[in-house]
Amino acid sequence: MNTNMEKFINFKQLDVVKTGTSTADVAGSLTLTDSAAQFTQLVLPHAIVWDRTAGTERKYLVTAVTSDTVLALESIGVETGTGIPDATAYFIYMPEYTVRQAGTTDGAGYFQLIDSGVDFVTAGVKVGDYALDITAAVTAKVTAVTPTTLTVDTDTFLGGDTYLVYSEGADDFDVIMRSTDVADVSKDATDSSIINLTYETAAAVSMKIDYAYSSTVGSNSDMRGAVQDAIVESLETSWPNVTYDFPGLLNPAVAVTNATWLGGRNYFFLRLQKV
Amino acid sequence: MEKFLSIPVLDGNGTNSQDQLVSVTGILSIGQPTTATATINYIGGKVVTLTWPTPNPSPILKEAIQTAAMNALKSGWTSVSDYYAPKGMVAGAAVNSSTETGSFLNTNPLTSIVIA
Repeated sequence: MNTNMEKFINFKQLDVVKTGTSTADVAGSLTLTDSAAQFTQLVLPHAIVWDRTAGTERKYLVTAVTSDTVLALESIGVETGTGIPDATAYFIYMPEYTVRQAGTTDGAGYFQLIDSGVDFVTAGVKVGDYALDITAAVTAKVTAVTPTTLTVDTDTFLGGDTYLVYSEGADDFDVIMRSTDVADVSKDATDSSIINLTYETAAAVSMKIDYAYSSTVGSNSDMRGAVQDAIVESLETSWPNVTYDFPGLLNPAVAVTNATWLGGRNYFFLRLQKV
Repeated sequence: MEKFLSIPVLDGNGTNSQDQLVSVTGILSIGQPTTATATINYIGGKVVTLTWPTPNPSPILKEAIQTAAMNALKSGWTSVSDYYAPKGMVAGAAVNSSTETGSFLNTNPLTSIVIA
């Protein structure tokens, strides 16, 4: 008979909004170049870029969407990067905004964004969302929504304009991780943005948590402590509360060592993975 | 406490007449490695892979399984098996199957459930 109560921690994990492979060697210039990408219709400043090179993974924040194929970056964390080298796999996450729809207008109306080829309602566009006229470099706010027409507070959209509609809030989803039977929670020995969990029945690490650690100081145990606290809280909740929502952990804003947009906000989780 | 999801799936002959039990006890994590598959990873190392007939972008399948598994674990102890209609499945209408062949069959059950 199984005498353990099944308990889980529920994390908010950022969704991967774009995967790709860089196509130019711009290491040292703090940029990402991908000739096959269309960044203007996918990415906004403060997006997180993860250089996926095994063994030398690096993380960056987008400071500007320079063009469809080039992003300007700033490095975050202890393992400082200098830009995405050529032929390097990357992931992009959106911690500040969620893109609802992108495309090209095929009509024009007074204070309207018209695209007959999409359904803004199905896409989840709401009043108060933002509509970026990429062609004119003007951002408007959505004031009314129909399937193919958005009414906006700034008269900027003409026929043939490229656009991006997005809402406030991270593009994320729920991920559960077992909190029963945990034997050990530890920081990764070589990467300050990884927490490893080992379970009683497993000899090796069983779960790996990757998060956007942005300080340049490496000896931070805050996340390990927060995960441990969440495990305890999770196990202390009474049945039928099977899942416990991770309450978040503040990424302290420090002028010198943690000065990016990520400082002063809760840490963002990039991946929880069985290993 | 042992708990299971009961999930409609095609059998070896391609007939969607069976429900298969999948344990929700001992889950370590749930993943969606492809647009058509979700995996239930158990603490002992076993992995159950659920395969859908039609693709859904991540994390739709993963979240669906997470929700079903957590709901099953929240149910009372006498509720050992919870029926789970996989995302996209259309339940067959309950009419006279003796006169209308296939009328009980579901559309889009899981293609397979495999444990490794």
